[in-house]
Amino acid sequence: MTLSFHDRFVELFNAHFHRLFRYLDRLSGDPELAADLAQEAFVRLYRRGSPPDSPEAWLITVATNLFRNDRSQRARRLRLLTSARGEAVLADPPPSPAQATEANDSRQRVRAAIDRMPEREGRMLLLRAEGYSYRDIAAALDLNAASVGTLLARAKRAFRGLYEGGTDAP
Amino acid sequence: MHLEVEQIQRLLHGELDAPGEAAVRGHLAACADCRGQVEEAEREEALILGLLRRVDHAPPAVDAQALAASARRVVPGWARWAAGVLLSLAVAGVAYAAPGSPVPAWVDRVVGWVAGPAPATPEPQLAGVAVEPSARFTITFGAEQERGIAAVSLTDGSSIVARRLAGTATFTTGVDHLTIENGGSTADYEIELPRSAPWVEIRIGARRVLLKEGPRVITDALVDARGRYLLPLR
Repeated sequence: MTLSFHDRFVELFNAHFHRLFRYLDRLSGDPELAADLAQEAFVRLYRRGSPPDSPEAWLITVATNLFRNDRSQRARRLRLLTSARGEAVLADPPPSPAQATEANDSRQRVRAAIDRMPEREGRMLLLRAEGYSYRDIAAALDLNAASVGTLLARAKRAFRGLYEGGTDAP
Repeated sequence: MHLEVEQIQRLLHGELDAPGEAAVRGHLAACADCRGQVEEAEREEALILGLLRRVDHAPPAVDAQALAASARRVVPGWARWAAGVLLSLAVAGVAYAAPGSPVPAWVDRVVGWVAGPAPATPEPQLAGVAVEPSARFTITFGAEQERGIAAVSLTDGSSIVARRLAGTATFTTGVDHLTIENGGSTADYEIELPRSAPWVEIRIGARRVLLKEGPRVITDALVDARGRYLLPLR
């Protein structure tokens, strides 16, 4: 049975919206912006009227371009359908004050490490962390698919170096 | 001969084809060095994924059907025409308000000539509240209106001010919220937000229509010649 475009859209949304949001959230450090950009990418997909050959890579590319535009133009974003959202991940139990301080410090170091990574390596690391395939990562970042594993290993090393306070960014 | 970094990463991520994976696993069975490399790569992967989760936020509550409906909305021709009229009015407003502009005198002369002496017009009945903003403050219109606009401006004052211009509506305030009960009303409103307020949102029912976050204001509302955001209450 062939799915209608609308049904295919719903299927893609259910499969990819949250991970696209999480990728953008980690990339930007701004959950409101990430929510807007993820929604806008899906709105553009719907308005396209037909699914692209590689919807995952298409969504990543559109969302990343929107992010880049936002950073360069500081455009005001359309708030679509975002409703109330918690400020942090909901699963963890409340920490003690010492744990909270340590967690906050660690969070800041993670944020700083992501921000300081070379652009391509940072995006590659975040995309892989969301489970995107090597093929999608290569298509979205315009890389040779045969060397994605090697580049990922380098990106992980760079991230660890920056997180642990070194200057391991290549 | 040991495994290459590319092979180790692909094994970790399930990116090897079946023959490739069989070859790699065959090598690992016989090579302690490479087994150690794979174990180290697995530890590093788990560490990094755990660290990245620390900066996560909860995802927004959005569903595909609502987003598709939003994507189907197109800007009709009349809206583009209305936008053109608004732009023209804005330009005219600037010309009218510019210091030294002769336009106000011309307008007064023409109006006086056409209409004669202006009748006294009653002041609109005002009602409103002023509250100090908390770290996060929410203003909620309880219902959508058949018509009516909330004009939102940023001020150098320290209070959030909401005024009802004619019509009916009641205001209820709390430490971090202001609720405007406007069911059945067609009133217009003026809302002043202090520039210093760190975080203020305006909602119509459950729908957020404006967010002020630090110096940034995020909304899809039109802005008039006075720099006010015009929020339709429909």
